[in-house]
Amino acid sequence: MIELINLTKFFGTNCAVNNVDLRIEDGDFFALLGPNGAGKSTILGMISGLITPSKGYIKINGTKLDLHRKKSSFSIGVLFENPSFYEYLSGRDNITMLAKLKDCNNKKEIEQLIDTISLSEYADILVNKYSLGMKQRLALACALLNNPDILILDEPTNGLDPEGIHAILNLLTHYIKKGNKTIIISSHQVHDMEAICNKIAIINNGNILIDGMLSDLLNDHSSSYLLTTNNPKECEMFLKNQSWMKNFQFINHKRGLKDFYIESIKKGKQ
Amino acid sequence: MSNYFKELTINELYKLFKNKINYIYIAIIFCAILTSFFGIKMLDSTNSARSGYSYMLFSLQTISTTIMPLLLLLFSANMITSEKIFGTIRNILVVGCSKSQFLFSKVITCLIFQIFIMVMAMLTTIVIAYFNFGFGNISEDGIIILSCHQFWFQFIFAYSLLALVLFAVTTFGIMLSTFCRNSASAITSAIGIYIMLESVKSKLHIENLIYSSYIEYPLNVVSELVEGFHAAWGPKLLYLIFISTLWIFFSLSASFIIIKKLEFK
Repeated sequence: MIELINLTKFFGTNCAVNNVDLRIEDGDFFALLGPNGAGKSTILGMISGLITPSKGYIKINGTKLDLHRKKSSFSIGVLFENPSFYEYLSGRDNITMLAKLKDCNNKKEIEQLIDTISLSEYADILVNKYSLGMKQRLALACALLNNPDILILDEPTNGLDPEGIHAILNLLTHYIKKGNKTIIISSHQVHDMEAICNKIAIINNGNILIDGMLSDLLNDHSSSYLLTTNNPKECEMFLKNQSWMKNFQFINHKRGLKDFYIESIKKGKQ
Repeated sequence: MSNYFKELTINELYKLFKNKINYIYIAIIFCAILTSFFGIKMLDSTNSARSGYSYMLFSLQTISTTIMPLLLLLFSANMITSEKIFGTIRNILVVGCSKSQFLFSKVITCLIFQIFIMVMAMLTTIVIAYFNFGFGNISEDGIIILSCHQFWFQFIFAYSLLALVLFAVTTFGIMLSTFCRNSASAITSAIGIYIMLESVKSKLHIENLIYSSYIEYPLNVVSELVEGFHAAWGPKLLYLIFISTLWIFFSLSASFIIIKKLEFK
């Protein structure tokens, strides 16, 4: 079980994550959803031990993360957004080097992983010849080394074509079925996550907007919507004047468009 | 629990072996040795035993005071910045390795690379000197002023001192690579600071405090012995050891403090 307690992170004066409290049970397939710059990667960075929280702490199976980082890192596999490798080495060399650090000296297991991610044919080619999809798959293989109990995946489908996204999500679904594994995945592609996750949290500007079991949220917030508009002022005026409106919140501004998170009281009044 | 430091160092050495740029560094050293060989051949055709020693010392001094420090700076200044730029450092830290283990595996790799190119340069010059000039006792008017055995003892001692000074150069490069954002800035600032210190140290009367002031000293003493001067190791030897060690300590401590404070998103 992973517990995030009062987790806060400041980068200079900018608050990237603000007082986040989350609880992820063993066996959960947890999706952290939100727009770019919402704080997803920072939260995942803190869980994986790369970023030190400014305030609050993380507990993994009841143990504070910073106290037993070495111990916990053995049970955590991480896939970063934009995976990086030594470009002058082959895929096999890269994964073997990480395997040694993870105490995984079983060559058969490495070969099996390379096979699972369908890279056997390209394993001996230098990484600088790999496409983004191949790098993502190699990164996933590295994360799966030693069969970790917790898998942290930061935008694993970023930049992939629909076929690539399907392959990765399929692989993850199979992985979680293997045992009591916990997967934490961050994404801004809500549809893909809806199909595979049992628990979600929506984050924006470092704050958790909603979190819980996906099935409960679908029932409770069935009248919640994400509205994207290129005319935010008029949209805001319109929403304010609606009697059925329970709550609405501006959450994102990107390339001239604005996103509003809307909760209406009566279903069908949207 | 895996032995991170050992595995990290083995990984670093494997990367060193696989990275083509390191072979270019080695080729540059070879070219410099061959250039000095042809230079000596053109100037001195006596082929006397004494010329063998002179050639070896001349070549090594030329390489170790000019090309070698620059190559070591280039090599070490790129060590950590390249990991930061490409983000490969995250893969290492996330498996539980500490930043200090990561840093010291880099330091050990730099030291091994430095020793490798120093030994390679030494062996190459010895082989060329032996086959083209020959070695023997150094004598004048039939009197042996330095036996072959005495020479090699003095030479190995001097070369070890040179290794200490060059290690100060290497650790300085590592320190710069911990806080520079990219390889270009690390390499430019490393070489820039090195050249700046060289040009201002005599004007500011800080020669004694700069490690590069001692780079020529060890092989100079041996050269003087070979030329028949009654040279001996003076107090400068102690300065050399003290100042170089101080720089190594300063660079490593600064690197350690900087890398501890860095966060890799």
